[in-house]
Amino acid sequence: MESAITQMSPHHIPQDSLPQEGDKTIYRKDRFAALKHRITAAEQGQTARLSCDIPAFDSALGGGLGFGRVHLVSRTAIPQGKPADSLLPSMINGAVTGFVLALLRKVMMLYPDRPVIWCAPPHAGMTGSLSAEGLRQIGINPAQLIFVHESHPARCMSAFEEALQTDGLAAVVGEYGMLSRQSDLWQRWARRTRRAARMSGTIGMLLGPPAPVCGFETGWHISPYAAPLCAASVADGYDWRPSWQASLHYAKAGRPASETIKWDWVSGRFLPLEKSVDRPVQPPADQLLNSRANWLSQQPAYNIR
Amino acid sequence: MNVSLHDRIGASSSAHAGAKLASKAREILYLFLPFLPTTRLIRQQGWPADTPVGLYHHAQQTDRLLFVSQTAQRAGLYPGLSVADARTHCVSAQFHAVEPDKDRACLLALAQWCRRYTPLAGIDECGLWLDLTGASHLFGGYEAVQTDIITKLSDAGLDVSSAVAPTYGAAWALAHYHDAAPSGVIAPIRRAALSDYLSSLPVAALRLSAADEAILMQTGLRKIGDIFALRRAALSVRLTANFLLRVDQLLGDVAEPLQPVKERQPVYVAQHWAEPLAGLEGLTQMVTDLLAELSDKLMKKEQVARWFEIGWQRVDGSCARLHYHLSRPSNELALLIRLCADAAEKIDAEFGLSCSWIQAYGLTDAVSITALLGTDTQTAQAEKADQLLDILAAKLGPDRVQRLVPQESWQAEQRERRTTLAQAIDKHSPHLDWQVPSPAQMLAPRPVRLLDPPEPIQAVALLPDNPPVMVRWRQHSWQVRRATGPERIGPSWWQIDTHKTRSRDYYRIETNEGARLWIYREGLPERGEDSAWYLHGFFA
Repeated sequence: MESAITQMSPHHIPQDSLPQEGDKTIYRKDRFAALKHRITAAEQGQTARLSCDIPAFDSALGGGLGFGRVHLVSRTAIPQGKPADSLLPSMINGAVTGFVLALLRKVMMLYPDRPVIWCAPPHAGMTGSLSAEGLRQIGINPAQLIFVHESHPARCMSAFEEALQTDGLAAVVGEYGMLSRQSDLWQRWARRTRRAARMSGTIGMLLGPPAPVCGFETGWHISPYAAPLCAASVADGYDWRPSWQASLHYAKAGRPASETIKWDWVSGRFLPLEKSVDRPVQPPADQLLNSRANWLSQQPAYNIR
Repeated sequence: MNVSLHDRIGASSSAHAGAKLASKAREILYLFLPFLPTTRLIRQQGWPADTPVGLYHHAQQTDRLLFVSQTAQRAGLYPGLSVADARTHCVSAQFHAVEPDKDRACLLALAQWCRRYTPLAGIDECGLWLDLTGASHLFGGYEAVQTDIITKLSDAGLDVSSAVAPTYGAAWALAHYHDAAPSGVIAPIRRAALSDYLSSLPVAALRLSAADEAILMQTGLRKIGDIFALRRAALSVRLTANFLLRVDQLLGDVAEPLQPVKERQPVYVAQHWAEPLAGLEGLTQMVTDLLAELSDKLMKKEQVARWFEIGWQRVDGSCARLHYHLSRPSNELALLIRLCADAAEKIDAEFGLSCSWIQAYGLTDAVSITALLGTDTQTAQAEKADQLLDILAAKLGPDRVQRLVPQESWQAEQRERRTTLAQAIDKHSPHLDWQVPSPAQMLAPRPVRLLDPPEPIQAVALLPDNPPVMVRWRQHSWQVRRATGPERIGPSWWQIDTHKTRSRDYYRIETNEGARLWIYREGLPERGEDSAWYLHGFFA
């Protein structure tokens, strides 16, 4: 009996169980290695985070945006004074898209050979549709993007959920449009996407109009940053790099934060925007309206090529 | 592709009543792959590509080399040398018994690949032949086919000698023994010119038996030209009938039967119903059963399929079909069931089904064992991503899953095109991939979102050729803070006459709220054209 126990002890490895050349155990060894790799990947998936390069956001989020979570990026709600049918939403939608694409670029730098699924209605109306040349200027290879164009919002979002369940993708992006108006559907769907993202560890991003953020990991409000007119900013060397007023208004395991940032496509990083403290000048538009002679003197305000 | 080619050839032969085709000389391309067995072994064993390798077979109580790799050839090894001698010549060489079955399988796979050019492709001991008669014009002539194949095979790392000739024998001889064969030989079509062309080749090019070759050597006949000079009767006394046959086949006096490789037949499972089958549950069960049977059949054959056809016949005799495509061939039951999940709903049974079937097409051999065991994580993940796309395409429709492919144009709206994934995969070539943008491209700003078609706006500019200071889009006004431009994009020269597109001056503007827009003025004020303003896109 005692000898049987000693034989069963974990330190004792019978010789025939060791991997041998030309034996099936070789494959078993590989299999174990792969499983170990998967387990570490899964563990990392729970903790891996995408840094936002901005200390204010990273500290508010506890290290960055979580993988295996869904993040809601929307434009800032229309200010009170503006009429409801204002075109402001579509005017600033470029900024929201740009911010999502910048985040996407950062994810794609981590997973250079995985595709990205982008679920959107086929004809985006007055918000326009993604342009490949614009993607390239953000630093994204358009070949890596696969578009799912479905006009029915519920079907489009079910495609988003289906994609989010799959591992092997870099990220999944969805444009939800008016789906968020139906609050019960929206809540149910938020729960389902959260579960789907957890399963695969893929990062999910949603962009669209302001929507209830309950159920998602983070909620962002993005608006374009309008630099005040000052001598430096109207001179020839105006920095046309995208800059946003990004506000993290909801974080499930963090606190809100807000920062003005710009995107540097060369390094693929967000940079904090140094606010210029230069003396503001009169808007050139007003001056120009005054007299044509005055306009001629102000000509360097435009970077005319 | 292959099927249509086949149909085309079939149609033309029936239309021309044979006589015309018969008068036309045949075009046979022979590809000689002398290093294929060694290359295959080097790749399968994972040796470095420049390892000297010899493949031997056991004959007459000794191991004699049959194939040598290119580096081994340079080291002084040659076919026919005994392995013991070869070891002294080249110490670092690897020697391995020849595996004719594996080499044959490799050649067969290549022949299947060559069926893209012609339905008649086949193999012999160490090479491939393609009968390009009537098919070569589809690719721009047999020279183009030859160049294409040589390029593709050498890209794949295979050394190939090739020749096009009116007969199989001549093509074989030239590919094996002509000096220019590695870059591709094209023999003359006329008989007299052909025999002159072949006369400088050694007699071994006639594919003779060892006994016949020995007799020719004894009599001092070393070149094919020497044989042409002699009378047939004199030759037939000393040599076997096979020799004369080979000479006739070389010049095309006697036809040579050739056996082309066959297309893989689709795998087929079917079920017949005594009672008409209807109802969603029944149909779902039917699809699942059929898929299980099909998957089982494919597993047993160790094959994977690229696309599936679900067909059914109703009680009134009418038939209908559904198609499902996979971007990565598979035979996995769970995937197939997920792929065809909505098939039962799509089947319109009317008064019931009398018979239903599933066929699997695009068959290829199953994947390697590492992918099956899931040890290759990257492959496994890429497979899952591909499966997702198939499922999305099956659910939403194949035209809903799209990719952006570049197009050569200066106009922003024509620089890209959305194609369905199936098209993007089938025509996968370098020009469908996006290159890294050049610095000049980065300087020309492009918006992340484009409006299609551009929206007309009103703009107030101080001078006709100035950027605007105020824009008005659908009854809303926006003050312009900053502007840069113009970037002039003209229409393509072939569009100028149509007057549909005019030159555009693009400006990037920033409004008071900070929104950045891409607007343009169509029509050049300096030419006195009427100008109109449009909003074309939104920057990030």
